[in-house]
Amino acid sequence: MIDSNSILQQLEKRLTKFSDEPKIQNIGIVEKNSDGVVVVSGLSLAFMGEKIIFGNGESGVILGLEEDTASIILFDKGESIKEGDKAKRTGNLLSILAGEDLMGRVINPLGIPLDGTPAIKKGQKMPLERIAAGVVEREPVNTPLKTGIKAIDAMIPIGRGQRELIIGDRGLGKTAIAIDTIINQRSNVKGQKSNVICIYVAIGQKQSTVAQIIGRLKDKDALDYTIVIAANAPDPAALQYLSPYAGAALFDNHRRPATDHPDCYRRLRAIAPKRTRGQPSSVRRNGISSTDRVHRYVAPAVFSGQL
Amino acid sequence: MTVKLLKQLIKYSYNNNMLNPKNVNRIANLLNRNDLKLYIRAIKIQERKLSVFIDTPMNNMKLKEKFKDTFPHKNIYFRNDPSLMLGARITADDMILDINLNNTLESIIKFVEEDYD
Repeated sequence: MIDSNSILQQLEKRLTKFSDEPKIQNIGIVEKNSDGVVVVSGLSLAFMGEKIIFGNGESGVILGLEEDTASIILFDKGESIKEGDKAKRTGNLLSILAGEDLMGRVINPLGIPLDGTPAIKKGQKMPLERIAAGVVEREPVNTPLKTGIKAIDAMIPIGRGQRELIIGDRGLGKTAIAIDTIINQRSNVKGQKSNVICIYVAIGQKQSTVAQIIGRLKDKDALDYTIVIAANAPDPAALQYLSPYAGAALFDNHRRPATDHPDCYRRLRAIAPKRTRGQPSSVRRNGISSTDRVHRYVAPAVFSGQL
Repeated sequence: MTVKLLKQLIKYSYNNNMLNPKNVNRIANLLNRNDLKLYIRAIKIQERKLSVFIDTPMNNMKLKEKFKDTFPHKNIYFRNDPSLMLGARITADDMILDINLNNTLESIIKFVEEDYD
């Protein structure tokens, strides 16, 4: 049982965290607003990709930095932003909350729900623009991703983690292939979750078309393992531009770490330096043998039951 | 107009951190419409860089003198803002420093809202 003293102590501890330091803000003044791009002077401490909030509550992201000015693309219409308005820094890179809570949700590229459900509060902050994983970090493609379309699975099989471009004239059924593939990932066992997470990014489509697709996914019980990111035709160009980045950020969050892979032992052996008899390796000289290093990497994988 | 030329014109427009109307008029008469726009914008930015705005809730002459010593090479403008309650808000170029009671109360409210939800 918790006594009243400990509760009071906890509350006092929380109060001690509060610091009354003077607030320092770095602001900018709007110089020009044209076609969804706002030129702001000031903001001397701002950095590329930083989220900026304007006086009227609208926001944007810095996509160009010059000596005295910064160019910001807007996430809203920005009709009420005028010359002389103030713009504030947030100090945050543009990011999206990624996690299990997003499953079955329809969001915009900033993570704001479009399906009328409550906002997503839990999850890991994933920056929209980040350096892609290097070749070594990536797992080799060794597990097939069954699309459920016989012609594709037989003739041009796709692996998990592989990219595949679907190209063709309009009305040929490119979206249909993608949607069918998502639906076919559903588990055959009732109540069992699919082990494939699907992220569907709709860019510049009609709202009705996106609604139809979501309806279809819902009808086929495929929405539970799907995240839909939508930047529709009437949305600002900045949101449409950011949608693929948001999709990639969510994908990165769900990507399995390379050390969980059964093949990691072989790959780590390849990376580890080879020792010769006469000359000990630099790793050995430091007191850690190459095999020790490999074992250290492999140990977590063994405990997680991957090897 | 190049950035270098614009900088030179701005330098020529000021005497001891004060805008020289004679020089400004002379430059303005020589510029075309587009260049004049750029020139006006550059002057506005320069003015902002050279000015410091100090908002205080009351007229305290001693405090004003102190601020003049703190920013010796800047044009200081004092404004009255009773909403600050106590302290001051200093705006220098694109930086705002809030050292006032209003800011303290606001940060307490924010802290309580975030931590005691």
